[in-house]
Amino acid sequence: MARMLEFQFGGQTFRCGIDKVDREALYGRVDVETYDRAGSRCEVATLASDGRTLITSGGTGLGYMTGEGRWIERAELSPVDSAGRRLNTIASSFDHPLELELRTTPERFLDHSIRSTYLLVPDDGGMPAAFASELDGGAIFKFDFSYRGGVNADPAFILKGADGAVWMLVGAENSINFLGFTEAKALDTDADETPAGDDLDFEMM
Amino acid sequence: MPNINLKDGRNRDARVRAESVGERATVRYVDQAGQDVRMKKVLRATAEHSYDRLKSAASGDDEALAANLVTADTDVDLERIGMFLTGASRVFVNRAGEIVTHITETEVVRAPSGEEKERRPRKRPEPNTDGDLPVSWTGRLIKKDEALRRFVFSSKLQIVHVNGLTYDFLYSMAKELHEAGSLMLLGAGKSGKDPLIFTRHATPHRGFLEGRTNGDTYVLLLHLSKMELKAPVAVEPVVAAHAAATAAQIAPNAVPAAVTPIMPPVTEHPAAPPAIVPPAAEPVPLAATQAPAQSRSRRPTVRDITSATSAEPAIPANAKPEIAAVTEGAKTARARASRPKAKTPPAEATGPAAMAADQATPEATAPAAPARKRSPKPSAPQ
Repeated sequence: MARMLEFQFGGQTFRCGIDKVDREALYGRVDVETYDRAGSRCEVATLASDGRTLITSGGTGLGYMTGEGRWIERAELSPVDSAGRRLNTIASSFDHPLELELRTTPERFLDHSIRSTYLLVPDDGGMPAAFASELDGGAIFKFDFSYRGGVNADPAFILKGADGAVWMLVGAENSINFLGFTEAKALDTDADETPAGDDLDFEMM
Repeated sequence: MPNINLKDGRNRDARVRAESVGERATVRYVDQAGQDVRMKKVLRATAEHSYDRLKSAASGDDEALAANLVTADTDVDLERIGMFLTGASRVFVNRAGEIVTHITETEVVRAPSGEEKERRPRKRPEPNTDGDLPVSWTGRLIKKDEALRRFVFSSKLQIVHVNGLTYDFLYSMAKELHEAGSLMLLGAGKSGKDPLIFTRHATPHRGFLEGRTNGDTYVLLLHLSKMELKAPVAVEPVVAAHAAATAAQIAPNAVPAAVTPIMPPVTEHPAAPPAIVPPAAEPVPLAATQAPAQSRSRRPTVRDITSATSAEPAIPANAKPEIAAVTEGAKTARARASRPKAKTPPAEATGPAAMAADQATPEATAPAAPARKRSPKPSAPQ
């Protein structure tokens, strides 16, 4: 069952369920199966650098270590910003109403990369008519969203798609700067040896 | 970041840079003394200590296994469990737990319902954005407001000039697109219509170029999309009902508008990015983008983009197993991966996977592993 978010718009409150829609739901998926010469199925495993320790799925874990090499539990960690100042944590967006008062432009929306796509399905009460009317008029609402809570909220948008559905898109803002004549960059002349796209997660789906 | 060989609407082309615009995480995690912590990968259990092996050692009897765990601690290896894992390699093992050096990879294409549709040798798309054939304007302009409601732009690259000539080239491109208020669909390959592939084995993306100018400065943004903004077929009735309910709320007496899908479901090739309406043979004049919205619902929408991915590479005649590579160190593997003819993604730059990149064949002769998923940023647990 879809989780419900509570929104506030123009003094009215309404609730919507969110259904995640991803590539797999639209187009299906491609699984890769691996076979040995005898035609029997193979699995991926990890071989440690000692060349003899074979580790199957679930055989590794991640842990936090202090500078002195002491194991530390995640609950004992504190988030800080780049200057070392402690940061407050925020609650999950499912725990409180989300105010919809900020509208944004297509250009500002296009400054963001979209990471998660949710179909908004209002509960029996529906959406306020004024809100639906604004969406029909092309409005894009922006608000902060955090699925689980934590340090940072992500920018999220509500808009009406070309298919008539109402969508909530969660993403991240990019750093985009106007470039002048003097801001030329050098071509990557060693492109064959430097794997491209370090910051692009093309395998995300 | 990659170069891109880009051609404009006047058939001028140049190699320029495509830079990442993603912002780095600024949140770090510290211990109670304010000191930075590091994330380390550790060994939890080896293959010999997996449940299946331990049960097999106990003759398949759970009671005997339990007794072994209690009396002999057969699930614990004090010498190895807990050790830090660095420079590990990914290998394939068979059901007997033996490393396999000669594999065949098969792609199983599944519909959104999970139903199997096709089996075929694994395809390995090759990059097509920095080759001899430039990435070109298709002539298909889409208004910004329309594009953001039809496609999910999951990543972006900023196109950057590399000298004075390319500054003029890109500025003029940005100005033209800025004045059009639209995104230009780009295409790669010989036909100039193929989706963009930046790295080997990567998912093809549709590229949409946006231009902005401000005085003598410009922004050229390449928006990349691998998914349409539309509800899955199973959800469409819900969407239709919702759209109808919304329309009724606004104008109770109005007839609910039909939900016209922009495109039919693309399920022929799940790895392909969104289908795009084929462009006109000649570039569309910028003024044509002012066409009324209602004409959009009638244009042809079906395009099979199964052929979007590159052709299968040939099997090298001298391909043979190289078991020694299984245990080679990361440095050797990286050197192997950096051979000029092998464009290897970072996820495969170690161990046997790097070797597999050298021998890109449907029937790989080394324990090639699929691209490793990117691990979470070490300093940002949520």
